[in-house]
Parts: sequence; C-alpha cells; structure tokens
Amino acid sequence: MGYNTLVYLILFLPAVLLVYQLVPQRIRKYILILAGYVYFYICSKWLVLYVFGTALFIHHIGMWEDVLKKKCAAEAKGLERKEQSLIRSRYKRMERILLIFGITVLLGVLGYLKYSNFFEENLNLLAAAMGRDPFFVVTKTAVPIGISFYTLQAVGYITDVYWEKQSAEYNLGKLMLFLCFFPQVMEGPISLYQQTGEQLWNCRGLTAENLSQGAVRIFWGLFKKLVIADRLNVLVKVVFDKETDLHGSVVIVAAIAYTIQLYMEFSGIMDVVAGSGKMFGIILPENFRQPFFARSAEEFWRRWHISLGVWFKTYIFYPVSISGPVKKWNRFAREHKLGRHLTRSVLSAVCLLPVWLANGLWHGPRWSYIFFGIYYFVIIMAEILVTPLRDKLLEKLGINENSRGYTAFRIVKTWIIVVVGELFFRAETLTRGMQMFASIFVSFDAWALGGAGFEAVELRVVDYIAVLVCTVVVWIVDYLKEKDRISTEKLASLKTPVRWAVYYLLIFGVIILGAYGAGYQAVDLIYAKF
Amino acid sequence: MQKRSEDGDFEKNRAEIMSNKKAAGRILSFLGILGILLFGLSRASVLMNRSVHPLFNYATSGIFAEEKESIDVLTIGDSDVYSGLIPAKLWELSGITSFSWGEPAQRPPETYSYLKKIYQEQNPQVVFIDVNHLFRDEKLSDNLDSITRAAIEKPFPVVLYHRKLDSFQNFLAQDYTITKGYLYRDDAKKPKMKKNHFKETGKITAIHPITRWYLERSVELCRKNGSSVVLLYIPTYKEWTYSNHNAVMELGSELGLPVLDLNLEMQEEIDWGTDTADYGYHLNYSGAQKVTDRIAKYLEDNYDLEDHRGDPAYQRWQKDSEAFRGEVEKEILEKERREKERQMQGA
Repeated sequence: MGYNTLVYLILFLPAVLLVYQLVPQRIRKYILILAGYVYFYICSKWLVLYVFGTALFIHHIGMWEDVLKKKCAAEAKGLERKEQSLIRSRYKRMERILLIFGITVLLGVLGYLKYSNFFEENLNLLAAAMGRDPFFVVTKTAVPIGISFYTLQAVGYITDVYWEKQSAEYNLGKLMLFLCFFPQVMEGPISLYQQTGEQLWNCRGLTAENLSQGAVRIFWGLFKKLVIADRLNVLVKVVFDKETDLHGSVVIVAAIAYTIQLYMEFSGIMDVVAGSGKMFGIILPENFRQPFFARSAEEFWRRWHISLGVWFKTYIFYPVSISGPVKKWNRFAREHKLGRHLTRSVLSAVCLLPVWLANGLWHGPRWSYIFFGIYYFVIIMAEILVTPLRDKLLEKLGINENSRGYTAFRIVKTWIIVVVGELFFRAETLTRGMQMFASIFVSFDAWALGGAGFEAVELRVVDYIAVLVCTVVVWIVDYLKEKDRISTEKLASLKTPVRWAVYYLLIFGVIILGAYGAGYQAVDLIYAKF
Repeated sequence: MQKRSEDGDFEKNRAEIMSNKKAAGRILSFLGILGILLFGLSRASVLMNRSVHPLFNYATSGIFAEEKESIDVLTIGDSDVYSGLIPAKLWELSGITSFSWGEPAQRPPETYSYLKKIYQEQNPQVVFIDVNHLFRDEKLSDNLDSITRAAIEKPFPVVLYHRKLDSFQNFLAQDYTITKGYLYRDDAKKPKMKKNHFKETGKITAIHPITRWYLERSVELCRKNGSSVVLLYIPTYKEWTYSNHNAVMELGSELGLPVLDLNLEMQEEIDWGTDTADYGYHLNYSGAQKVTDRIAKYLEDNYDLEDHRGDPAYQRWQKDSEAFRGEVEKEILEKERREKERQMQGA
C-alpha cells in the first residue's frame, strides 16, 4: 500500500484519523501503534513480527544498558576517584560489548534478509570462475518493508542510550510506535528517538489548521509524484530496459529524466509522508531541502535524503573521526608538520570511505549501488583535495566565489555530477551503466533523439508539455523556498479566495494531469524497495 | 474568585466551540465547492468522451448504443479482450452478435460493476469472462485499491476520463461503434521466447480471496440472468504461466464452469513472431483473427446460438461488419504504402 494509492489516501489515512479523533486521548497512541502494525501487515503480512521483534529487542538492550549504568553509579558511589574510574571503565566495556551485540544482531538480521543472496550469488560466480560447483543454493528470502529504515532507527536508539544522549525507554509501547508510525515505515524519514519518540506519544487532538496544512502538503507531493515522476517513468523505463546499443544523446536525456523522476518521486512521497504526519500534529524530520540548488556534491547530500545523511554522519562518520587510529594520525601529522590540508584530506578519506560504502550498500545488494557510493566518495574527496588550488586560481583570476555567475557554474557542475551518478544508479547492472556512460562519448548523435531512441515511448506531445510545465512550476516553488519567500504558513496567511483557488488548482492539477489509471502503468515507490 | 475562573473557563470553552464551529464550517464549504467542481468536471469529461458511462475505452461504451437485448455473446475482461476478439469477424463466420468489452488493466470489482450495468440493457446468452485479469491484484492492498477505484469512478468519472480531457474531438464522436469494442492493431513485435514456457508444472498460482469473491459475484449475476459463463484465457505470451492455467482449471471445477485456455489449446496455431502487437502482451489483428475462428468453432460445438445473417432485424450488423472490413482493408493498404515508402527511402 504505497502512499500514493487510493487505498491509503481515501481509506486508510482518513479511517485512522477518524478513529484517532473519536477515541479518548489516552487510547490514541495505541490506535497509532495498531495502525502501524495493520499497515505493515497489509504490506508484508506476518513479516510484521520482525518490526515487533526489533522493538522488543531494543527495548531490552536499552534497559540492560540502563541497568549497567545504574549499577556502575551505585558501585562507584563513595569510592576514591581512581577506583571510580576503574569501575567505570569496567562497566563501559560491558556496555560497549552489549552495544556491539545489539548492533550486530540488528544489522545481522538486515544483512541476512537483504544481502545474503547477493553474497551467495557472488561466491557462486567465484566458484564457477574457479571451475568448482556452486557453494550455495540461492533461495529467495522475503524481506519486510522498510527494514532498512526502521533498522537504522533502532541502531540509532541503542547507540544514543549508550552515549547517554538519550535515557533508556522503559515503555515498550513508545518504542513500538517510534519504529512503526505508519506514514514513515515504508520510506522514512529515518528519525532519531529525540525527534519523534515523545511527540508521537503525546497524541494531541486533530486541528483544522494541521489537517489543512497536512492535506496541502500531501497534494503537493502527489502533484510531483503522479504528474511528473510517473509520466517520466514511461520514458525512463523504455530507455533503461533496452538491451541494444544506445546513442549518447538518448542516454543523456534518459539520465536527466531519471534524475528528475527520482527527485519528484522521492521528495513527493516525502511530502505525502510529512503531510500525513502533520495531520496528526507530528513534525517529521525533513528529507529534502532544494537539493538542486547545491553548489557541490557534498552540499547536495546535505540537501538530499537528509535523514540518511544525518544518520551516517552521527553513527559512522563521527565515531570513526574520534576513533584511536584517526586520533593517532592527527597527532602524527601535527608532530611531523604535514600541514592542515594533507591532515584534513587523509582524515576525510578515512572517515568518508565507510560512510559512502555504507550509503551504496544501504540502497541494496547490487554492484551498481556500491559503485554509486564509491563514485560520490571519489567526487567529494576530489572536491576537498582541489579546494586550495581552486581558491588560488579564483584569486588569480579575480573571480568572486559568491558571484552569481560562479555560483551558477557550480550549481550546473553539481547537476552533471548528480545526473551521471543517477545513470549508474538506475542502470540494470554496473556493466550496462558503463556501456551507457561510454556511449555519451563514443556514439553521440543528437538526431537520434527524434527517431529510434524514443520510438517505443508511449507519451503524447501533451505529456511532454505537462512534464515540462510542471517541472518548471516545482522549480519555481523550490526557488521561492530557497529564498525563503514561500512556506505553508505564508500560504495560510493569504486571503481565503486566493488560498482556496491555489488549493483547487493543486487538487485538480493532480486529478486531471496525474499519470494514473488506464493508459499508464502504476509505478511502485522507488525507495520502498531499499 | 472561583466564580470568575468558572466564567473564564466558560468563556474559553465558548470561544473554542465557536472557533471549532467556524473551522468545521470552513472545511465543509471547502469540500462542498470541491464536490461541485468535481461533479462539473466529471460531467464535462463524460461529454468529451461522448458517453454517460464511466469507461475509459471509448469503443467499449458503444455497447450501450446497441439495440436492447441484441447481443448474444459478451466477452469481458482487460485489454486482452479488446485485442483478442473481433465481433465483426464472428458475425461473418457464424452470424452471432457479440461485444468485446475490455478496459485497460480492468480489475474484477470493475468487471462486476460493469456487468451490472450491461445487464440493464443486454442479456447475452453466453458470457466469456477473461481470466487474465484475475491475476493482477495479488496483494490485499492492491485489491482494496481496485475496490476503492471502482467505487470512486461511479460518482466521479473524471478520475477515469482524465487522460482524455484534452481530446476535444471526442465532442463530435458517436457512442455507436462498428468495432463492437475491438481495437485494431497491426504491429508485430516478437517477444523473447522462453524454452520451458509451456512445460507442465504442478504449481498453482494463488488467486486472492477478494478477487475470487468478485468473480463469484459476477458469475452469480450472469447465472441469475440466465447466461452461460465460460472462463476464457486469451493467448498472452507475457502474462500466461502454467501455474496460472492450473489455478484457472481448479477455479473452473470448483465453480462448475467450463474453461477455455487458448494459450495451451492454440500453442501450435499462434505464431508469436507474427501474432502479437507488443512483445507478447497483446494479440494483433493476425492473432485476433485466429482466436475469433477458434471461438466461433467453440460456440458452434457447445451452444445452440441462432445465425442472424439474413434476418432483416439484424441488417445493421451486416452493414457494420462490411464497414469494419473496409476500414481494416484501408489500414492494411495504408500500412503497405508506408512500408514501401520506407523501403524507397532506405534505397
């Protein structure tokens, strides 16, 4: 049950809202938990037990960590400082073992369900290459929806308790709701316990303001998903599914189309998710902040799938950057006067490599995703490495870094980086991605655009016009958001006739222009499979 | 002191109730206007599609322009139906009046609701229910989605017609159709052939209980109206599997219905190199002709349907069938001309 389906928008969400409002306040949280589990059940049947098991597991690990912390404090009480620190370090070690155990189990389940086939298949390929029988019989494992999202939330929670950023939660219900709030189970955003844990449990009553703002956000999301993304999908699918040689020009158009599709799709669904949350008065963390205004790849990732980036930064980048070897390198570099640039570059490389490997792998067990991660690692490292050189060059040429022209140049450069990245991301296999990329340089033929390249694309001229005009509309809205000239609050302050006209325009835009129903194929949510 | 605070509470409650009332009023008026706009747009979309029936496939709605109770055989289902059966040819072969009712990606709840509509005007003796569309909604959520859609399409046909809102020429179109639902296509695109496509297996595809429930309602409705029902699997290389076949056979024996799986029966006759318009999803004209021949024979062998050829009351069918043939011949000539032109350019 994707968030763009009628059954979600017309049956499920209104039904939950209605029941939520009708029952007494103290029962509302249980309605939300039930709704989450029903949602999960509808999508993944009995695999719903996984998410319940995860809640139960982190509930125990959290309490266990808390018991150790309390025991440590009790034992250390009244002792001398030296003995205190001995006891503390003993308990810290136990806590660390517990944390590692917790993370291993959580990631182990994720890894087993999502990646075991990939490793088995690759080891079998290796065996075949060595002329031996396959090592494994590869069987399909059923994967519960959203496992990559709720597992990260679970790991985040137990790590925060370990770091004492968060006190252990003794209320199992709260953790269950934190992991299974139905608007976010399928595609995130990945939230930290501090962000949504308490908020969800408070269960305020519905208000007209929240309902209307939530609904507007939902329709805005549907506009992006149904009008633009699903229409572009027709073109993207035809080109990327082709197995024959493609002209470079066709590849470029398809890669740009896919990049737009992915943005409209993912950010659109995130709008539906945020809007659904808002209807209950829940503010979910934002996942997008006008990514196509980023001036570098690094900045792009601070604006695109933000909650994933924040998670990686908090739970991978940060721990690695304060780990023993990195500290040693810092000391070594300082002692040997290696200079700030080199020190920082090596440090970044060491901390960013695991982040980007994890990013690639997180998207799924495919070589093209791993390549995608490494691609960004290389690009971002290059950005860091050339910074001093670039600064010098700019100074010599007398270019102001913040000038409009230079900013525009950087933005366009980032677009190119992103489009190439998405080309590999979407290609069926890594090899196919390489072939398609190479064709840009080997067989570029602009005339192919009018002919053979898109002949199987069942889009009419009006479809292309709709995509173009609506993309421009989204771009303008993003621009106004970037300049802080538009927001739901500002929209709410408009005069009623104007505001309602905007709402009706949006609603009918979706109904009339949406690429849904007969004549179009329903498009599954791209991020739901990650 | 206490009184004042009570008064204060009262005032606050009153203000809250007033503001809630105001908000509720605003929401209701917003929804009211939305409803009116939706209704108006729905009317417009219906006009643009020249049909009072909320259907997407324009030709399909032509059944309501036919004379009452004049159709002998109805085939209903998804796109396979309008790609696979040619009523004009069936008339030529055996003088039977038939209609190919198919909507793209039609779902069983829609089949049931369309059937109810059709029975208000027609009373076919034989109803072929296409089974391919029983395998579309595998999950509970897909089934619920189809039910919701079938429910919304009725009051607000714009949800169904929206794609055609730009086709102003439909204002001028007629409901009545000589194709009787059939969609002519002459492309021939060969699918990737699989080695073990027709290899027997014991596996049985699960049909979702909701899908089955709607099918049973449809069958019940047909039986109540005295129609004989046949489960028909129109050849589709891409979507047919042996385990689907097994599921249909099982369904047929459980519901006491004959099954005609042309995928298996016609595997020698259908040439997937020449008979499909789009890589094995749908049949083209050449494939549909073969299927229509087979259906004509099946009807002759199993049912005692009257041959209306020569009956003055059915003159229009004779004319329509000739007109259809003329249109097809024109299309074929046009295609040949295009081919020649392309060859000339190539040379």
